[in-house]
Amino acid sequence: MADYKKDFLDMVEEQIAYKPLRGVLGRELEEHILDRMEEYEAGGASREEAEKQAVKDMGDPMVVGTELNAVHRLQKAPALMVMTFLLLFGGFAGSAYMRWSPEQFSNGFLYYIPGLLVLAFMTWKGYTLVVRCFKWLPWLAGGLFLAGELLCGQKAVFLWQLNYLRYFGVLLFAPFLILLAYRLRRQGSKAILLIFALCGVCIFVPGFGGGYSRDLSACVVLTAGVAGALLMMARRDIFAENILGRRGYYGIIFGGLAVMGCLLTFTDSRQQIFRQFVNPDDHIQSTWDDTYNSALIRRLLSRTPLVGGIDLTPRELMDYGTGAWYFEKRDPRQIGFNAVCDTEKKQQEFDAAVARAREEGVLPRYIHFDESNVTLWDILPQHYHNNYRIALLILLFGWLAGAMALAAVVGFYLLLFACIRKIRGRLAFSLSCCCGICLAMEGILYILGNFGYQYASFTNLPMIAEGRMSIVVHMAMLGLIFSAYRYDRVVEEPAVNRATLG
Amino acid sequence: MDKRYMALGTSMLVLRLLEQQSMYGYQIIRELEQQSQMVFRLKEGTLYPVLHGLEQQGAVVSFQKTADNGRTRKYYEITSQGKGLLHEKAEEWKIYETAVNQVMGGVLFGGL
Repeated sequence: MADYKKDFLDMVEEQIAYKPLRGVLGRELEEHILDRMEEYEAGGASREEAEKQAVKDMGDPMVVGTELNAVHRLQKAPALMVMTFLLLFGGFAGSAYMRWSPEQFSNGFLYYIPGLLVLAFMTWKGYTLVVRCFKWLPWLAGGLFLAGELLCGQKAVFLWQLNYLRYFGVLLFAPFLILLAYRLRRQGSKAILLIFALCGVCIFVPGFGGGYSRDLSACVVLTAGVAGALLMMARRDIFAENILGRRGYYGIIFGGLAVMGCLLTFTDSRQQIFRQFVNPDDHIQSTWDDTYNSALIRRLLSRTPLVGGIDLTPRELMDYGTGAWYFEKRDPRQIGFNAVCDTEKKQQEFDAAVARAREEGVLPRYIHFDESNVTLWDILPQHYHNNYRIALLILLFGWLAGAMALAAVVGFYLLLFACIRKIRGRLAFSLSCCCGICLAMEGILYILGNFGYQYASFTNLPMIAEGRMSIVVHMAMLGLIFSAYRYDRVVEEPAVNRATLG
Repeated sequence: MDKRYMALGTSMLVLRLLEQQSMYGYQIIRELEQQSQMVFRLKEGTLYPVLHGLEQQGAVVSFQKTADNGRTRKYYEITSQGKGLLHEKAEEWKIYETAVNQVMGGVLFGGL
């Protein structure tokens, strides 16, 4: 007996280029054929006749398959991919170059290797894994995050090194909150309020611990990523319809954003961090302060020409290196003193200066260079090389080079968001928006810091100025965006199984 | 009929039906036949590329329901974006229809 149904479905599925999708599409068509067969059988046709006629009604399997394949195809974003690799190469080269500078012996550039592997894996499997693990992933992520908070809490000193992972824990919490928001989207405003409540707990609770400022920039990125993605979700009507419509959702989201803003400034130390951000000059105590670095970087940038690096005399370099340019008229005790003790007399002078500084409660820098050998590298604090990479590029090669680097970064983000905008799948779009906004927000904070307006701790500039773990985490987020775009037309979103028909 | 207008017509009719209630593919075909008094009889398989295309545009969303007989059915539901699209398509169709009527009417009147 001929198997018309199977032959039809086989021919349709052969036209579908993306093999994992074949079964899903085939099942839907098969259900249709079975329904039609039931109708013919109810009308008195034999099973074979019913099947033959039902399959005939479906039309040409080649046409159906070809049209389905045209709708469901893998997508590529070559321009974005090229831009990503160019920036990655720039970041890698920069990190490798910095490694050989006298000030920084870090093997951070080696993290580009696992970073690239993570990018490749996430692009290949990321979104499909999210869809497959859709039901339990938000809960697993929430549990892991909570465990991380407990393990890496400020009081768990013995695990202090794990604290470095907390920044990225907070960062990765954003896409998982959006995943949860998507799962609960039919609850409408309740889902949004729950997400903001969880986001608020993440921002609020650690505020009572010491040394919190390091995580505050991550909290800002988290808030921006979550609120931005929720806004985009509301704009695409992903949440269940409510009486007030989109505007109602916008109102709730902006309200939530305002509450998050309050939480980010609810303690004295947080308000202080905000004040330092908007007005760093009023908060400089010593040459060790980040606010001092902000003032120094702005001063140096203002003296850098359009083309070619900054040109300073040895005297000027010494002034900047010791902090004399700033503290001479304000507080001379903060000016750094000579720490090269090649004679006994110099050693005695150094010891006396240290004792005097301790007595006065100040902490000036120990200077290991003089006018005969001082270089630009000496006057920049060690962490300048990664945290101020754009500024450093300007100082070394002029504003034109810096402007080109900034243009490349802006170009990358424009391509990234153009790609995200094209994503049609609702879950894929929501997650991509969230990851994209997080990456962009990190970049914005980083660039502001490079021009002397640093908020809380240093963020990284994705691809260009990476630390160690950051490259891996950024590549995971970027890979998820690539993956969501790639599989947008072929991977079915997790279906909501509504109440069983009565 | 021009393929473009055929596609325009099909997606417009599908959205119109889904505006009334959420339906699965076979149900859409049945409704289309019944409401058009058997004038619109598609090759049934061609409905699915149209439905999936609308889903990718965000005009419809899908969800699953299990029927009495245990079979899982994929239902399609119109979104507010889909309602907007339906309005646009209906306007486009009106322009097409008016143009056809004008030409047909003109020829007829000219011949009289």
